[in-house]
Amino acid sequence: MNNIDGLQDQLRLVPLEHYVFLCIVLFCIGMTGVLLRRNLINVFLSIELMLNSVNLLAVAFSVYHNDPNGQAFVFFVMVVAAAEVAVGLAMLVMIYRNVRTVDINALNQLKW
Amino acid sequence: MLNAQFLAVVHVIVYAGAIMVLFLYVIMFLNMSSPITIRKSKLVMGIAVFTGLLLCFVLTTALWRTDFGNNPAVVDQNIGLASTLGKVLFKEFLIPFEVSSVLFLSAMVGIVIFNKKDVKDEIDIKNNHG
Repeated sequence: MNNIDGLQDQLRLVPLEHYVFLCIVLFCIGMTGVLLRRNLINVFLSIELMLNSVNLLAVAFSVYHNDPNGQAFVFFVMVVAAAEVAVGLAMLVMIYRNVRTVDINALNQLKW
Repeated sequence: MLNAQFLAVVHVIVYAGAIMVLFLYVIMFLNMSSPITIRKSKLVMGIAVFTGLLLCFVLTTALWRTDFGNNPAVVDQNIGLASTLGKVLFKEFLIPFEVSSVLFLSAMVGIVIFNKKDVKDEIDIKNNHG
């Protein structure tokens, strides 16, 4: 009962290139979201999408190369992502308290 | 399938259970009423989309030229299990594992400090409103 034996072994594996392409597409969508979005919360969500794509890529590689270190690395990426989201949202709440908006164009005080 | 059982559960708990809930709480407490209606200029939007497509194109070309070798006929189904991953985490990744708890602690301390009002600010607010 520990693993899904037999059936999984006989299923034809999805080629690794498909996983990599999916992760590339997800990453580029996330990056375009970071560049295009004006709401800070949407920017954070796009960053999370990029992190998720990298997680999927690392898991796919670790399974296909029989190396559990990839999945351990994904564990730590999730740790860092959770901490980063918490800190980022705390900063967002602080910004909102000062500027009363979450529009990124309102944060231009450091511009020349 | 990839059979990454432990990571699947951790993913659901962390992302759907913590991060999304945090986002929703923040959105709820911010109570933004005015939607952002003015879009960026068309030029900036076009450049952003072009950059995204360019990155996708570059990465896909790199993927095209890479030879991944043959897919393994059978993969070790024990890799994604919690027991295997737990052994790896506690043997080879013990120090990062313990340091990540310090990371969380520092993040929490930082967040709590973020949201403390300065005493000076409180006095200013009282003087301005009094």
